[in-house]
Amino acid sequence: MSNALVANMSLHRGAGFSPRRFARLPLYAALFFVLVWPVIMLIAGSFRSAAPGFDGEWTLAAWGSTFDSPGTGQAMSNSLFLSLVTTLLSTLIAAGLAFLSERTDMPLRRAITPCLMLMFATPALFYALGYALLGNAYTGSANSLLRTLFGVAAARLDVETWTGLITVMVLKKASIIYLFLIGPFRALDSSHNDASLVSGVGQFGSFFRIDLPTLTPALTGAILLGIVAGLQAFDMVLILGWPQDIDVIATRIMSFINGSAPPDYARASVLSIVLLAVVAILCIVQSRLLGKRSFVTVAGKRNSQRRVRLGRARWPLAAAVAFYLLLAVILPIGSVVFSSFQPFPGIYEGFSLRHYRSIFALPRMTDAIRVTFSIALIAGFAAMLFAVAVAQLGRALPPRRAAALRFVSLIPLAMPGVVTALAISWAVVSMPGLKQLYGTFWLVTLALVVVVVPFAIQVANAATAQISPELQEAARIAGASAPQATMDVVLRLIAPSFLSGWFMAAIIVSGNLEVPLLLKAPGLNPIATVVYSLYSSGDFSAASALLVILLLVKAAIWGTALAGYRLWRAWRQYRRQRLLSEIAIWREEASAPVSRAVTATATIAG
Amino acid sequence: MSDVSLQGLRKHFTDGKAADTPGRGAIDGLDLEIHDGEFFVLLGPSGCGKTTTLRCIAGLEDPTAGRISMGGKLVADPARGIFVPPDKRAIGMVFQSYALWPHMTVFDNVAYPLKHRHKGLSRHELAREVDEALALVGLRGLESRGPAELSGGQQQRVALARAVVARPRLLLFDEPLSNLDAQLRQRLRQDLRRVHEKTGRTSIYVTHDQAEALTLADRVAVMRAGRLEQLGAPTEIFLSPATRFVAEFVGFDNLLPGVVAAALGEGRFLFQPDGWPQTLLGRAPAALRAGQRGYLAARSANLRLTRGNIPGTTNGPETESGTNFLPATIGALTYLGERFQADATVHGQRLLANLPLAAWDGRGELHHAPRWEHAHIALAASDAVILGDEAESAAPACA
Repeated sequence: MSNALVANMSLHRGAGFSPRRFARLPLYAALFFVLVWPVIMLIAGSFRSAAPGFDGEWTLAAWGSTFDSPGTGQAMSNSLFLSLVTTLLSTLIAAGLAFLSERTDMPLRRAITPCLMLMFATPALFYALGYALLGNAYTGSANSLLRTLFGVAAARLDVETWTGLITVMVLKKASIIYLFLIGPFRALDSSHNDASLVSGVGQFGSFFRIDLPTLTPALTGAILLGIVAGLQAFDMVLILGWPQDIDVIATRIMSFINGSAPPDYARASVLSIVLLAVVAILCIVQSRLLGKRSFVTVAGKRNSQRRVRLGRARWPLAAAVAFYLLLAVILPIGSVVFSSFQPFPGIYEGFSLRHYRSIFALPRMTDAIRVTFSIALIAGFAAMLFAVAVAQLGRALPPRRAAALRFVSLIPLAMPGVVTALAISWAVVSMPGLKQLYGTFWLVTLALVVVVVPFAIQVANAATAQISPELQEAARIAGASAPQATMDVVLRLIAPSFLSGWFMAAIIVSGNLEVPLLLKAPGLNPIATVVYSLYSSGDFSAASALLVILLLVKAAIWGTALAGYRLWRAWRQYRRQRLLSEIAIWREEASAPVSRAVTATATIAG
Repeated sequence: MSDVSLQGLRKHFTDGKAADTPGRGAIDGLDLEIHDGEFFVLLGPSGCGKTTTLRCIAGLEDPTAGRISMGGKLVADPARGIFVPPDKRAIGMVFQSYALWPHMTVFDNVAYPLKHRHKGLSRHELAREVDEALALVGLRGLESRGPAELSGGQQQRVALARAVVARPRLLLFDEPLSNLDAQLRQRLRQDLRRVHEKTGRTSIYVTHDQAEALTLADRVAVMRAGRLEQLGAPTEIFLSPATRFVAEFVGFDNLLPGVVAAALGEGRFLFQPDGWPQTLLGRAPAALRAGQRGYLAARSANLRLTRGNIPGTTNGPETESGTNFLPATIGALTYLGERFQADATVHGQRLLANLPLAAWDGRGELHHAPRWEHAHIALAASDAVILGDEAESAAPACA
C-alpha cells in the first residue's frame, strides 16, 4: 500500500515537466529505497528458500513451519504478556510522576524531568547491565549489601527472573512514557480547571473530572506507544531473560538467524512480518487517536498555571519519588560505574583502574570506540539531513501527499531493530551493484539511519514547522536560488535543533545492539556488541568500564557542542559590534561628498 | 519597462477536490494589463484569488494555464514549459508577515537582496545602498538591531526597505498593513504612496481593505472567486460599481430589487422597486433597457432622514431637483459618533439611513429613536446607482 503511494507520488510529480519537480526525484528515490523497498523485500524474502544473496527458490514452506517451530508460540505470548503488563504499570507510574512534576507543589518536582531524561538517554543495554550487576543472585552488589546487613540467610534478590525483567522494563519504559506525557500535562489549560473550581469542585475532584478526560487522548496514545515498544523489546530480554530462557519475538527472530545453522532467514522474515503487521495496526490506531489530539494542547498561559497544593502529603510523596529515582536512575548507573572499578563483581577490595587500562591496551576495544563514534556521528548526521529534506518536502507538498509522506516516514517506527536489520539485508542484496555493501560498515550505518529516521523526522518537523514559508519565499524574491534560500534561511534557523537532533540520534544509534549483532560485519564491533559479548562471557567489570567510557565520551561531545555554540554566539555579537562601528565611520565619510558613492548608485541603477 | 500582462491566467489547487473545480484562492481565467509605473491594487474578499494572483506574478506559484509577461518578457507559460523562478524575476515583495529573517540584523536583512541581485558590490557600496533604503523608510540608525527588537511598524518598514533596495522593476505587496493598528496603518499608507512616487516603479498591491485601495491605487481590480469583477480608477469603483457584488463590497448597504421603469437618457433611469407605490430616479454606469430587472444601490450615508412631511408633491421623484423623497418611519438608532444610523421603514421595506446629530440630539438617551409622527428620506439621484441583474445582463462590465 505504502509503496504504491510513493510510486504514484513520484510519477505524478514527474509527469508535468518542470525542473523544480524534477529536482525532487532523488529524494523520492531515497525515500523509496530506504523506507519502502526493505519492507517489500522482507515480504519477498519470507518466500525464499535461501539466505539473502544466495540462489534459492520461491516457496511457501517458511509460512507453514514458522508457527509450528518449537518456542515460537511461546515467544509470541511472552511478548504480548510482557508488553501489556509493563505498559500498564509504567503508564501508571509515568502519569503519576507527570502529575506530580507539572501540576503540584511537591518539593522534589524539578528533579524528576532531568532524571527521567537521563534515564531515557541511557541505552537499554547500559540499564539492563546495571540491574544485572545490582541484582544478580550471587554477585549482585545489592545482595552483598543485604548479606552484610542481615547475614547469609537474608532473602536474595534475583533480577534475572520474570519479576526482575518486568520491574526493569517498567522502570525504563516509564521514562519514555513520562517524556511523552509531560507536554500534554504542562499544556493543560488551568482556566478550565479554574472554571471547575469556581463551580464548587475541589482540586482533586477537578483533576479527575476536567484534566484527566482532557488527557485521555494523550494517555491512550502513550499506552499504545508503550505496547508497541513492549512488542519490540529486545536487549533487556536478551540480558536479563536468558538465564530463564525467556524468549520474545525479537529474540526469536535473532535466534532464527544467529542461533541456527544454516541461518533461517525465511522463518525470521515470516516472524518479522507478523510483528510488523501487528505493530503497524497499533501505529495506525495510535495516529488516529493522536490525530484528534488537537484539543489537548490548549494554549494556556504557562506561568499563570496554578499548582495543586499537596499540603501534608508533600513530604511523604517527595520521599516516595526520591526512592523511585534512587531505584530507577541512580542505582543502575551507579552500579555500572562502581563495578567498573571492581576486580570482579561481588569482590569489594582492590578497586583499580585496571579495566580502563586494559580497554585502552586492547586494539579491539579502541576499535570498538572508534567504530561506535564514526557510526553514531555519520548515521545521526545522515538521518537528520534526510529528515530535514523530508520535512521541507512535506511543507512543499499539498496536504494529502504530505500525509502520505508522513506515513511512509513512520514505517521504521513499526520495525524493531532486528526487523530493520533483516529487511535492509534483503533490500541491499536485491539491488545489483549494492551487494558489495553486505557485511560492511556502510550497511550497518544505513540500517541505523533507518532505525533513527522517525525520531529525526520528528525533530526536523518540529524545527521547520516554526519557520514560516514566507521567510524562504522572501529569500527567493531577494534573488537567492532555491538551495541558497534553504541554506541561508532554513538551515541557519534550524541549526540549534539540527545539532541537538544529531546528538540525540547519535546517542540512540550508539546504544543500538540488535542491528550490529544481526548484520555481523566481520571485524566491525561497536561498543554495544563488545559489551554484550563481554557480558555473556562473564566479564562484567570490563563491560561496565566500556559503558562508562561510552557515557563519558557522549558527555564530552555534548560539552564540545555547547562550547562551540557559545563561541559562535560570541562571534556573532562581535560581528554586530563591528558593523555598528563601521557604520559610524562610514557615516562620517559619507557626510563629505564622495564621488565613489555616486558611481556605485549609477552601476546599480544601470 | 515593467508593465505586467496576465493572459487567461488559471491556477487550480487540485488537492482534496476534483481536479476541474477551482478551489478557494484559485484563479479562473484572469486577463490584466498593468501599466509601467502604475500603482495597481487587487481588491477582494479573502479567498477570491488575489493573493494567488500576486504569488503567480512573483513566481512563488506556477500557474496551471495562461501566460504572464513582465516588461514584454514571458515569465510563465505552462503550455510551453516556460517558468522563470522568482529569483530571476527582478522583483521586490513585502509579505503579510513581513518575513524578516530573525537570525539577521536589520542591515543584513536589507543587504541580502543586494548581495544576490547585484553581485560584486563592495562593502562600501553595499552599506551606502542599505543606508539609502533605510533612509527612504525613515529607519536610519537601527542597522544593528534584530527584527525581534523592532515594533510592528518598524518591521514593516524594514520589509519595505528590503523590497526596494535592489531597485526591482516591480514591487509586490501582499496585504502588508493588515497586521498593524488603524493609526499606524494610515501613516504607512501615506509612506507607501510616497515611496512609490519616489521610486517610480510599478507596484501591485493586494488588499481586502477598500480604504487602502482608495488611498493607494491608480487603478483597482476587484476580484471575485478567481475572476475579474470590475476594473477601474478608485472613483469609478467606489462611485459607480458595475455589479451588485462590487456595490456590496465597497459599502453600498441598501439594495432594492426591482425593475428599470424608463430610460431618461444621459445615464439617468427611473427605477420601480418591487412592491413600491413610487418610482425612484437614479443613474446607471452601464446601459440598461426598460423592463430589465435589477437593483438600486445606495449608501446609508446618502439617505438623509428629516422630520416632517415630504415637501411639495407627496408622490413621485422630484425630477427637477434630481432628489427622491421617501416617506419613512424610524425604528432603532445606532450612534456612530458624528451621526446616527437609523433603521427606517419605507413602504414596508427596511432601509438604513443617516440622521445628522443636529436633527436629533437625543438629550442623553442616545439609543432611543425619536417618536416623530412624520419623517421622510431624501436621496439624490446621483447617489442612487441602478445595476442590472447579473443573470440577465451580459458579461460584467470591464474596462
